[in-house]
Formats: sequence, C-alpha cells, structure tokens
Amino acid sequence: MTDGLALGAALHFDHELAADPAPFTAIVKELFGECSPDSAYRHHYIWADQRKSPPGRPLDLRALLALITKGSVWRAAVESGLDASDADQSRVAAGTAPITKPSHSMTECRYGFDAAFGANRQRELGTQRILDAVIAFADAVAARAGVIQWATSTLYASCLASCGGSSKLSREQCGHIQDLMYWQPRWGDVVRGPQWGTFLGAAHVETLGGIARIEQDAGCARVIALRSGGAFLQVTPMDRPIVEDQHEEGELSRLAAFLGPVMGKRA
Amino acid sequence: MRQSRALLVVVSSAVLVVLAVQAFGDSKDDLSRAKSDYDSMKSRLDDEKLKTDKYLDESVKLRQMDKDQLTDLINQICRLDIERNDDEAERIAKDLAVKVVDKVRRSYDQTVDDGSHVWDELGHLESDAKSLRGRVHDLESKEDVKSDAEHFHQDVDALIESVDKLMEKINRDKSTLDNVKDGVMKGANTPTIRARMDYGKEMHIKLQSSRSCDEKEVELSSGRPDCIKFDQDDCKVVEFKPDTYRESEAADQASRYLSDVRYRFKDDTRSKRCKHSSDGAIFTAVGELYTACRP
Repeated sequence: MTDGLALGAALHFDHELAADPAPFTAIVKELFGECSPDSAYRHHYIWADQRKSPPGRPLDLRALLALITKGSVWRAAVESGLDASDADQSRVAAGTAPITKPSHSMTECRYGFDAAFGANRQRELGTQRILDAVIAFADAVAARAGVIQWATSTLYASCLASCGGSSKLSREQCGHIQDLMYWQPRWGDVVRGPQWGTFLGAAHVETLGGIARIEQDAGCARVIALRSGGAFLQVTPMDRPIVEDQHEEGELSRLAAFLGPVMGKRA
Repeated sequence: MRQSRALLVVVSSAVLVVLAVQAFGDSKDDLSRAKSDYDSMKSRLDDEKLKTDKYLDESVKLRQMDKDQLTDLINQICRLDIERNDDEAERIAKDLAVKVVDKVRRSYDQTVDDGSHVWDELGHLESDAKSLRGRVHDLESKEDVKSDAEHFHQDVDALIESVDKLMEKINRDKSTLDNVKDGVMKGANTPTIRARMDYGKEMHIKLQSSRSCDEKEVELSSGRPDCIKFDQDDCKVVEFKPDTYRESEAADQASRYLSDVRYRFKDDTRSKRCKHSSDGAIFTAVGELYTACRP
C-alpha cells in the first residue's frame, strides 16, 4: 500500500513552456487550483537572469503565467505554504526559460520537471489523480525520460526527484541520490531509472521495438502508451509499491535488463 | 436778571445731567460691546477646541502610522534575502524605505501644517482676548459698570486660560512629533532599518564561515552561489535564505548554478573528492535557511 508514503516524480523534456505553458497550467490547476489567498499554496520562481528570486507568495497562477510567458523565469514552482508538515507538503516545479536564454540543464534535455506529494496530500487529492496529472504533463511536453518513486518522507521523495540535497537527509540518503545521478548528463538519450514508474521517450519506445513489445515483455503491471510516442511503465500495482531504500523482489533488475538497449552502459 | 440766572442754572444742570447720562450710557455700551466680543471669542475658542482635538487625533494616528509603517517595512525587509551591499534585494529594501518615507512624510507635513494653523489661530485669539481684558480692566474704574466689569473680567481671564491650555497641549504634542522625524522618516538611515538590512549580509558571512564553504560567491554567468563545498563524496552548491523562503526555493536557486559550477571546477583538484557521473563531478543543490530578522 502507498498509505503513509510520499511520491516523487521527475521528467526531462524539450517543450518550451514559455511559448506554450498549457501543460504547466493544466497540472497546477488540477492539483493546486488557480489561486490560494490563504497562502496554503505558494508560487515562486527563479529569474532567468542573474537576480536572486524573491520569496514565494500566495499562489496566483495568472501572475505566474504572465512572468513565464514573458520569458522572465528560469524555473517556476507551486508548492505548499511555509507551515505545511512533511506529510502535507506538495510541489511541482518546471524549467520555463525561453529558448533564447540558457537552460543551465544538467541533462540531454533542455528542461526538467519535478514533483513531490506527501501522504496527507495524496489522501486529499487521490494518488491516482496525481499520477494521472503527472502522466498527462509528461505526454503534453513529450517527455524524453523520467521516473516516479516512493519514499518514506516528502523531503526525500522531493530530493530524489530533483537530484537535490538537504541537511535534513542522512548521509546515506544523500549518497544514494548521487549514485542515482551517474547517467544524469545523458538522461533523455538514455532512460532515467528504472524506478517504480519509468518514462520512456518516443525514441526509446522505438528502440525497444514498439509499445506492443513493451506491453508484452517489459514485465510491468501497467504500461501506458503516450500520444507523444513515449510510454509510462509502472512496475508493480499501486498496492505493492517499490519504496526507495527498501527491499524489492528484483522487479527493477528485471526491468533494467529489458531496458538495456536504452540505458547507459559503462565502458 | 434774576430770571436769566435761574435759567442758566437750569440749563447747566440739564447739560450736566445729559452729560452724566451719556457717560453712564457709554460705559454700559462699552461693556455690552465687550460682552459681545467675548461671546464671539468664546465661539472661536469652541472652534479651536475642535480643531485642536482633530489635530491631536491626526498626530496620534501619524505616530501610530509611523510605528506600523516601520514594523511593516522591517517585516518586508526581513522577508528579503539581502546578501551583500547593493544587491537586488538591498535595492528593493531601499526602494521600500523611500516609499514608506514618502507616505509618512506626506502625513507628517499635513499634520504639522494643521498644527501650525491651529497654533496661529489660537495666538490671534489669545491676543484678542488679552486686548479685551484691557478694555474690561478700564471699565472697572467706571462706577456704574464696576461690579459687572469685575465679574466679567474673571470670565475673560478664564477664556485666556483656556486658550493657553490649548496652546500648551499643542506645544507638548509638537515635541513628540519630532520623534516621527527621527523614526521611519529617516528611511534606510534609521538604525532599526539599517540593522535589518545588514542582518542578511551578516548571516551569510556567518554561515559561509560555520559551514566551512570552500568557495563563496564565485562570479558565474548564472549568478553568485553563496557557498560551494567539496566534501568527500558529497559536493554541493548551497544557497542560504531567510526562513521566509522554503528550503526548496533556496535549493531551486542553487540548482541554477550547478552546470556553471561543474564547468568552472572541472579541472580543479578539489573536484576529485566529489562523486562522479558519466561526465564529471556531481554537485547537488542544497538550500539552507536561517531565522529571518524580526521587527
């Protein structure tokens, strides 16, 4: 069961949200709404130039979109207010720099997206609804790679997704996140993961022999073909999630073997 | 002859009577005029009392506004992440201070104007009342109105005393208004505000030292990361922010520097301590919060 677990998601893509922010608008509206005068949710952004960002403010999607489409923002995020506990936290963040400005990307893709939802927020929204929103976003931006992971805290799930660190994580957790980053510079060309949820780009699907073959041979509980030509692979059913740092039955190794042609290979 | 002398006596007596009646009549008229002037002054005093109360009310509100604006300004400055002299946040803080100073100054000028206006009017009233007192004093020597004038004198004294009290009230208040001048109206030069603006800079220096940052505020095309650490198997770029931000916001800012940091320190021997990806050293973006200053 996913009860009590936090969900983290990451995607890598080239879609320019500054020119077409519809996918970002859709996921924010679906999971946070359009505004939050009581500050339960805040939006914040990182400027596309050298300025340091101001503190987040009560969610006002219209104001945030105005900045994104103006091309002023490198990264835009919507997340819980300052007082939210770990289990109440939720966040989506996406790279939104216009094509004319440096993306400062760490992967083969121009942009990154990360999301994290604590256990209480999943109860409020419905875990499947969150998954559906992330998958819809991946489809809309034609994601080239990405993962969905389960963790025991929202902070850990968030850091796993964003490849970030935190002084509140253990040294082992920080080390594990960095170990998972070995192929980061090539994500997009190669898949990220595999993890409980793994996104394949259209090129990966093709290399693997098409969606029918993936459905048949990947050994996943659920395979979703995306209109972008990519796919979402869910290794186990929702009631039997694979939790980061916890024992699993070898499902990920089996999936890794299947995904071999689209994974990075050490010389 | 005798007849004409008698006539002269009668005429003289009549003239004296007329003169005496006229003299009595003038004193009473003077007193009556003085009383009428007094009534008009009393009515002016009532007006001035209202104006004084209004001014004092404005003055109290101005001082409260000064206090509220200062608190609000400090709150806003504390929300910002002022890292160094003349950075974006410091410019925003200075702009905020200028706006608040303008707002308070407008109210201050208006209040001071109103106060001066009431003060001038009270000055005129006082001078008019003192001149009335002189006239009443003269009437006290007139036998026919003496007692009335003496009684009236006390009323005029009371009026002058009331005017003086109002003037004293305004004078006392004026000196407290000077505190407003020394408060938020000094803007960024106010020690309270200056201290808040310096707080973020001090916290950055303190954290850069206590976290043993290997590099601080390196100039990169993407900006100036607060701290870079080359710890064994755990290299990171750290962004310090006041706790008016979320840790994730600080980490997002740090993540903007990652590609530049990796490129800048590619050949730096310290990078050998980092874990490595397929393409070089791995740095993670970390946000660290410190307690923001409070009003």
